[in-house]
Amino acid sequence: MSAARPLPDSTPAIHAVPGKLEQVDARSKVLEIRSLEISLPAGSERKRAVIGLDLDVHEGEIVCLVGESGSGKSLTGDAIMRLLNGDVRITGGSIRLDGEDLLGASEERIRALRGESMGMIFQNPMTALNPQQSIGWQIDEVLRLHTTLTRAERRSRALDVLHQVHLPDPAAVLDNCPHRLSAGQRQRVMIAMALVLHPRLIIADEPTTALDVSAQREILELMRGIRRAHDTGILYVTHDFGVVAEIADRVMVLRHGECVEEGGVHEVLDSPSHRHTRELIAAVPSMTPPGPRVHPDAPVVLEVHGLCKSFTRYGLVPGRIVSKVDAVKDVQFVLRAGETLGIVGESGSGKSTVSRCVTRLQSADAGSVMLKRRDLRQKRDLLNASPRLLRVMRQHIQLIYQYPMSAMNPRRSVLDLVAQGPRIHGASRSDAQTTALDMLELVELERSAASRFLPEFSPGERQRIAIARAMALKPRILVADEPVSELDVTEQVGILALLARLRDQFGLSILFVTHDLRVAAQLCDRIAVMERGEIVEMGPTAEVFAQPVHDYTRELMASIPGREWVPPLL
Amino acid sequence: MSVPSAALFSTELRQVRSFWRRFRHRPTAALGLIMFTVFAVMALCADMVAPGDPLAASGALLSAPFEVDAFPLGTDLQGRDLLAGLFHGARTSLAVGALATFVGLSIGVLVGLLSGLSGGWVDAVLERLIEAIRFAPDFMLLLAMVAVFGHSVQTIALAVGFISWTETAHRVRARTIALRESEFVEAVRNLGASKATLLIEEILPNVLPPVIVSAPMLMAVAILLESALAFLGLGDPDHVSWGAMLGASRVSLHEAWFVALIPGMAIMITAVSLTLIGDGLKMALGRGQGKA
Amino acid sequence: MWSAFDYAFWRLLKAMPSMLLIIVTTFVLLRLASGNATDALLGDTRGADPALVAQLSAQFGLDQSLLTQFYRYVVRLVQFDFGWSFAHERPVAEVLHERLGTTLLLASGALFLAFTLGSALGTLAARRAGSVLDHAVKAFGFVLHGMPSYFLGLMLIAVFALEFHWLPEGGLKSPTQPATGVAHALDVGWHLLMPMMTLTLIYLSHYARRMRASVSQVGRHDHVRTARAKGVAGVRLTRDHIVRNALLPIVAPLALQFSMMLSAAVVVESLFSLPGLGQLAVESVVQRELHTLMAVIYLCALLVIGARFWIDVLHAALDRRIKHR
Repeated sequence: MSAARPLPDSTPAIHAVPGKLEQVDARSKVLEIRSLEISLPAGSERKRAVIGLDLDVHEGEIVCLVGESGSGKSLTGDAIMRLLNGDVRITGGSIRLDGEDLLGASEERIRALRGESMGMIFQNPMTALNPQQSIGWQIDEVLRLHTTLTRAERRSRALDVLHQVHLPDPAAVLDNCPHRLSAGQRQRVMIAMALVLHPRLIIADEPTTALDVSAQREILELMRGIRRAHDTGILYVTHDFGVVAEIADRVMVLRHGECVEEGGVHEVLDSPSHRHTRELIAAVPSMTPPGPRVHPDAPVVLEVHGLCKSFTRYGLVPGRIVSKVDAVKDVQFVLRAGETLGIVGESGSGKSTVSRCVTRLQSADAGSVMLKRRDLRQKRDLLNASPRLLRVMRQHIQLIYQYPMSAMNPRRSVLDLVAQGPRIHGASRSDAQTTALDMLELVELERSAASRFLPEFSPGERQRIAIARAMALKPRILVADEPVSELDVTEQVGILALLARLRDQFGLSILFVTHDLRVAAQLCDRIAVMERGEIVEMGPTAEVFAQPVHDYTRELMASIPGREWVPPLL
Repeated sequence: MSVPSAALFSTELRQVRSFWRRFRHRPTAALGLIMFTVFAVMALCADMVAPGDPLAASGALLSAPFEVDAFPLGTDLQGRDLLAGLFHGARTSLAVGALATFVGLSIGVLVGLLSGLSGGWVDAVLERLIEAIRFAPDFMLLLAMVAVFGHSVQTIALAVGFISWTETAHRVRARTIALRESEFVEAVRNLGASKATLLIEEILPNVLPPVIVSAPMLMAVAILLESALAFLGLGDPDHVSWGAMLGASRVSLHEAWFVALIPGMAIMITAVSLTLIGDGLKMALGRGQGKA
Repeated sequence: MWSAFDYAFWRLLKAMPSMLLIIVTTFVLLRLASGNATDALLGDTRGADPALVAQLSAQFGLDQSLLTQFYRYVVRLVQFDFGWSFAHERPVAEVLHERLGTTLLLASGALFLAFTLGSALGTLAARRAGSVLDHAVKAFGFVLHGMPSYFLGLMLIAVFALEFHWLPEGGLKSPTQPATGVAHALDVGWHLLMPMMTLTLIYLSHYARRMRASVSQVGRHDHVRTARAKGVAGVRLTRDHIVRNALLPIVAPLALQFSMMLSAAVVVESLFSLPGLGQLAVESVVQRELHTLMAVIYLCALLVIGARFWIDVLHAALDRRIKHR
C-alpha cells in the first residue's frame, strides 16, 4: 500500500487551443501507446482486434476514441488496464503510463496502479456496481487498498468526492446500496470511485450510452470539470460524434482495429480526410429538420383521445395500493396519411407505453384510438373492438420493436417469420411465401436470406427483416418503437432511408417513438414531446426545434451533445 | 416457387440433425447412452439369459462369483441367482422408471400449461397445489400411497409418477408465463394471431423441448425411488428388484459384499448413465438454438 | 434485521394454503385407505379392547358427515392430537416427540455440512477452473448424483464398521454408555457419524456443482470487472465481490432441499437403525398404522415450513436488494 499521494495544487490547467498541436505536445504525456496489437482467440471473425495502434493522451486532455462496434475501441481501453479476459491477448506493442511500461509490469504492480494512477468507467451503470455492498463501502475499498488513511479520513475523502460529482446529499448516498439510485446517479458514483485517488488517466468506455440525454449532458459536463480541476488525461471511448463534438480535444477514428484518422477535434470533424471518417460523419443525422411535406388537410388515419394508463401494484391486503405509476396521462394526437409523427421523450416519459396502447398490446385504462378502415370512410375504436374486429384491424397498424432478436423467434427461418403475418390472416402457404419474398426484396435483402436464421444477420439487417414482416400485412400505419437505437450509425442511416422510401412509396403513416432528437429531426414531420406521461409540446419539427416553447423541450434541446456543431456536407 | 417450400422443410430436418450431431459429439453423453443401452438390452433379454423364476432359491447359498459354473455372478443368502436378479431387476427398474416418468411428465405438462395459461384464480389454486406437494417430503408421500393403494409394481410406478410431476409442472408453469409475456410472442399477437395459434406455434415448441430434456433425469429419480422402496422391503414381493436385492444383502454384508455390490452398482450406473444422457441433451439443446 | 423477519413472515403467510392442502391430502388418503373408517383412523384394532374402540370412535366422530369429520380432523391436528398408537401403546404425539430430535439433528446437520463444505469446494473449483480439483469435483459430482444413499451407506458400513471396526454398525447409542451428560452426547455423535456422512456426501457434490456454476457465472459479471479495475484481486475479490453474490441463488432453494433431506433420512435411518421419524414412517407402513404415518407427514410438512421461514430470513439478510418495508 502506497502512502497517500499529495493532492495536486490548484493552479488551473493551461487549456490547449484545439488544433494548436505544438502547445499540446509541450505538456507531459500521461499515456503513450505504440504499435499495439491485440489478438482474438481462434475461431473469431478476425485474427486481430487491434493492429498497430499508436495513441497519446496528454495531461488535461480529452481524447475521444471513435468507431463502430467491432472497431476495437473498447478492447483498447481494457488492454491499458490489463483487464482483457483470458482468450483475448495483447500480442505486440507497448503501453506506457507516465513513462512506465505497463505491459511488462508485474501483476502486483498493475494492481497497485489500478484505481490509483489509472481509473476506468464502464458503460452500464446498472450492472457495474456490486449490488450487495453499500456505496460507501465500495468507495472506501479503493481507499483501503491504496492508502493508509484512517477510517475517518477515508470517509471524509469519500464524501468529498461524491460532492465533486454533484451528487445531492452525499452522506445518505454513502449508506445506500446501488439499487436505490438511478442510472445517472450510479454512473456518477462510478466516476467518483475512479476519481477519488486523482489518477493520472481515466478511461471512460461509453459511459453515457446507456443514459438519458439530460443525464448524459451532466456527465459530460462533469468530465470537462475533472479535466480542468485535476489535469487528468481522459481517454473517452464512444461511437457518438455528437459527444465527440461536445468534449473532445483530439479524436482518433478506428476501423477494424486500425487507426484511420487522427487529429484535433475541429480538423477531423469539419474536414475529415479518410473515407471511413467521412462515411461516419455523413451518417450523423443533422439537426436540420425536413421541410413541410404533408398537406395539412390530408385525411386523418389515426386519432387518439384521452389515452390513460397507469401501473398499480397491490399489496397483500386486497385493495391496498403499494405503488401507482401514471405512465400515460390524457394523451391525444392525430396522425394523417403519409405523415411521420415523432414521439420524443426520455425514459419514463411514457412514450413506449403510448406505442403499446395504440397497438393494443397493452390495455389502456381510458381513452380511444380511432382507426380508419381501408376505405377511409369509417372509424373504429381499436381499444374497444371485439376480438374478431381487432384481428382485422391489426392488419392496418403494425409495430416494429427496438430489439429484433427478442421480438422474433430465432428458431424460425426468415421466410417463416415474414410469411407468418399473411398466413395468420388466411393466406395460403404459397401465397404467403411469395409475399414474403417480395417483402425481402423490398427491404433490400437478398432472396437467399429467406432460408437463413436471425443470428446470421447484422443488427441492421435484422431490423430490415422486422420491417419486412410488418410490411407483409400491407399496413397503413407503422408504429416504430426506438427501431434504430441499438444500431451503428451507418446502419441507422440505412434503416431511416428505408423507412423514408417506404413511406413515400406506399403513403405510410409512421408513429416514430424515440429518445434521440437527432433521429427525430431527420425523419419526422411533426413531433410530440412527452414528459412524465403527458405531451408537453407538439408541432411541426422545424418549429419545435427552432423555437421550443415549453421549458422541458428547451432543456431537451439544450442537452443534445454537440448541437452547436453542424456536420459538414460531404 | 419450389425453393421456399423445400427450404422450410429442410430447416426442420436440419435442426434435428444438427441437434443429434451435437449430442453425439459430447463424449460423456455418448458414454451415458451406451451404458443405458446395455441395461435396456439386459432388460429385454432377461428371459433368454436367465429363464425361470429369478426369485426361486436355486443354488448353493452365498456362492461367490465365478465359483460355481451355473451361477457366474454367485448367489445370495437365500440361494437366488444373482445374474438372474441382475437381468430381471433391470426389467423392473426400467419398466417402473419409464411408466413413472411418462405419468409424471404428462401430468406435469398438463397442469403446468393449464396453470400458466389461465392466470387468475385457476393459476393461484394450481400454483399452491404444486407448491404443497413439491415441498412435502416426497418419499414419505410415496410410503403413504403405497400403504393406501398397495405395492404391486404398477401401483408403485403410478405412485412414483404422482409424486414427481410437481417439479415438471413448476418449471412448465414458469416457462409458460415467461413466454406469454415475452416480446416475440407479443409480436406474433400483434400480427393478429389468435390465442390457439399462439399456443400451438409459439408457446408449445418452446415449452416442450426442456421438458423432454428433463425426462432422463426424471427417470433416474424414479428408479432411485423405486429401489429405495424395495430396499426397505416395501416393494412388490412378486417381482425381483435391485433395491430388494440390496436390502437383502444387509444381513450377509460382512461375509459376502458382492451380494450388495452387484445390485448397488447396477442402480448407480443406470442412474448415472441417465444423468449423463440428460446432461448431454441439455447441452445440445442450449447451444444450438438461440435464446428465445 | 427486523425487516428480514417481516419479509419472511409475509412469505410464510402465503405458504399457509399449501399447508392446508397437505392436511386435505392426508385426510383424503386416510379415508381412501380402507372401508372401515375406524380401522384407518385408529390403526389396526384387531385384538384391542372393543370398548376402547367404541369410545375412541365416538370421540373422533366417525359416525358423522364427511365435512364434520374433516373439521374435527383439522382441529385435532392443530392441537397436535394424532390419536393412539397400538403398536407403541402410547399416544402418537408422544412417539413423534421422542423421534423428532434424531431426525432433526440428522437432516439439519447433513444439510448444513453439505451446504458449507460443498459451497467451499465449488468456489475453489471455479477459481481454479480446469485444474485437477475442478475435474475431480465434476467427476465425483456425477457419480455421487446417481448413487443411492443406502448403497453408499452400505459400503461405508462394510468398510468402516465391518472391516475396520472403527464405527458402530447402527443404532443411536451403545448399551454400555450412560444415558446423559457429555459422554452420552459423544456416544450419540459417534453413532450419527456414518449416517450423517452418508447424507452429506450425496448432497455435497450437488452443492459443489451448483456453487461452481454460480461462481464462474458471477465472475463474469460487470461489477467484478469494476472491482478488478480498482485493483481488487485474489481472496478479497473472491470473498467480497464474487461469493457474496454467487451464494444467493444457492441459499434460496435450501428449504426445498431440507424437504429432500427428510425424505432421504427415511432410508438412512432404516439402514442404520436410528430411532427417528423416518424409521417411524417405515414402521407405520409395516404395522399398518396409517394415522401415525400421516402424523409424521404432517409434522414434516410443518418442519419444512419452519425451514422455509428461517431460510427466507437468511436470504433477506444476505440480499440487500430485497425491499425492506
